[in-house]
Amino acid sequence: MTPPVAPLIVAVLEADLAAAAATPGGIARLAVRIVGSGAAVVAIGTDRLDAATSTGHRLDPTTAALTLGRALPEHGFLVAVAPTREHPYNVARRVLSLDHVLDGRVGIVVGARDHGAPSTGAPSTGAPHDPAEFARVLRGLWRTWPLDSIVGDRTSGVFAHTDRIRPLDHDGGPDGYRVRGPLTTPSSRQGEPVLAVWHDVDVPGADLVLGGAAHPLAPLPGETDGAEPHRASRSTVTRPPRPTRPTRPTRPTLRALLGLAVPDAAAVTA
Amino acid sequence: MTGSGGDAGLILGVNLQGFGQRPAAWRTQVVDPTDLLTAEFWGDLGRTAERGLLDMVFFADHPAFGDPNVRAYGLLEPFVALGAIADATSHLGLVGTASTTYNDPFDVAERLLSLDLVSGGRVAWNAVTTYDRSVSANFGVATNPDRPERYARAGEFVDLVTALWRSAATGEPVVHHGEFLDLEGVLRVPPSAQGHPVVFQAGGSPHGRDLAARVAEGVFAVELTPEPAREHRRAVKGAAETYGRSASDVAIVPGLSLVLGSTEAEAQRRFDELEALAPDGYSLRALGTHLDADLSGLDPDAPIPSAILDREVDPVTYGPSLGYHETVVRWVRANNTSLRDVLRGFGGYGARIVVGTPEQAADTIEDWYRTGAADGCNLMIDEFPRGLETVVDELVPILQRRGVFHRSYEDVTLRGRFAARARGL
Repeated sequence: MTPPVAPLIVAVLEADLAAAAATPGGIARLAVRIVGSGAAVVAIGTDRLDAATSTGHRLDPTTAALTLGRALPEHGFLVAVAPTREHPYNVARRVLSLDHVLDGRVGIVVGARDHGAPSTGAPSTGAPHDPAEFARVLRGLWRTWPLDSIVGDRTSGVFAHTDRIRPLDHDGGPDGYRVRGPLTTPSSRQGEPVLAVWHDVDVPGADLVLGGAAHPLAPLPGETDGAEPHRASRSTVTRPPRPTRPTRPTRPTLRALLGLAVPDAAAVTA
Repeated sequence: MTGSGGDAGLILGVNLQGFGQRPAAWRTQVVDPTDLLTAEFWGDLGRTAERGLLDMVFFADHPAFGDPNVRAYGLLEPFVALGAIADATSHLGLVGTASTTYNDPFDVAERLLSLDLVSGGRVAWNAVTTYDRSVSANFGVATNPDRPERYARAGEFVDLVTALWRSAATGEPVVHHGEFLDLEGVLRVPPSAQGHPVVFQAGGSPHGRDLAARVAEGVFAVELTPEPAREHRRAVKGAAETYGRSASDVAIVPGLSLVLGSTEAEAQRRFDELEALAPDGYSLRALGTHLDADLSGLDPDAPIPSAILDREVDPVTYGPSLGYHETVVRWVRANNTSLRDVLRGFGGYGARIVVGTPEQAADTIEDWYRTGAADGCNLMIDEFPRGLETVVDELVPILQRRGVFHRSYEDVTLRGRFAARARGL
């Protein structure tokens, strides 16, 4: 019998994350289930990007990814974000910060909206924002401060070559964002977080499209059926063959796990 | 007089400022500059702080790029760094700053309660207002609101976040239609071990103190001398009572800079070495910021002109921190023999500083605590990780022997510990 094909990416429900966080030892048990699924990458919070699934308890996706990411030091994490309430400057620095503390294993899934967040009074800046512009600003900000500008020359006192750090100067017009930059945070070991988009959003130059009928995410198998293939074959993304042992001491980045290169800077400036 | 629970009730926090409060701290230790970006660096600092039974670590926040050659600081978003520390510790309080001017209340409520839940009830939110053009430009705002408007929004924002946190426990939706914020909804994060995060406040203006008296459980104050510190502490605790709270519901925790050495002379040598390696004019610019004046053309051997010190400041339109301005002006007046002398004593860059032995630091911490000038202090340590190890290994044991600092964590949650050691007036 052919062994079941493990999914490359599993989606963990927010309700499961919240329940795990609220139970002693819950996060560790959830981590065991994720390992049992055979997946290399975990999508967190994507249920808030669809109206039908955005019910029940929630846990902030970046906080959940940080906690799970420390418990699972080799997995990649994709966290759901949307322009419903939050400003891209705050999201950009939080996600890039997360990418640093999880050693380059982080990406985002940009949705059109967070269906579980109140829509009254949001966003505080006025009209609903375009998720494609939101994604462009995030990626633009991630490229304002190159990591290798940091040299830390103790003798001369030069911490970073700041001439290589640039503002973004994004101006999205009357209904768009205006964001000066640069970001507070330098780029990461994998260049920048992976930019995936939910199926209802079109972002030219995105690394990956997820969700919907075309790219369904495999759900995390339950505690008792961890060994089963469990709809894994429905996922259109399957994991590539994996070396038995990592050959380098440095763990693979999310980009490496997904087989993605750092995209060309020109792809998002249009 | 102190209220019940005052024994061993000193609150000690650490302000995590990059490689240390001294701008040159990365040059005097063998550190990799990108350590500031790792979970391990922050986790190790957390473990050291917890070994010393410190109550909390604290991150300020400035959501705009700052020149790392002046000071490498704030490279990670505070609550992400706190998440890494939470993972490495079990009791340490985790205090992060988030602006009420440039954040969304639903997001702040959900994010902070999530970390509070995951960490076992150890999170506090330092609710600040933001006045800074470099920040507003990142958020598409051309002009910052004036102080009354910023604080009116801050008050509404804190109330709304707190209401959302309560809704997480009750399931009752929040219906809020205020002057600045509109929101209807319920927070669906499970409540934490301490219910929801503790609230801190850091502004020293009359508006800031009023907000602290009404809602804060902790205040990061700016105090350079004990008598005004006592007055301000009495005023905030007294105002808390007029809001129907108890004076012991709010703890006042001023900043305190430390440069420690095994002798006073050694500490002074370390201070001088760190100052000499700091970027040119760093402390002059820091003083100028708090006085809202350009001091670069002044004669270093003459006193700071009274025109700068006597200037009337309009609390409505004055942008920078009023608390710093008031405190620093008072201190400069008392020490104004020359600009050079003022700068020599200004090593805390606005915070009180001790350059001396652990015994000397313990003396002044104990004195401020016992005489009601403070309920504790938020330490601004010269170098990380080295200076924190000195504090934990040498300063903490002295404070324990003197009976002002605890010998074990009274409670797992931050709010539980504040309650266990609450002091009135």
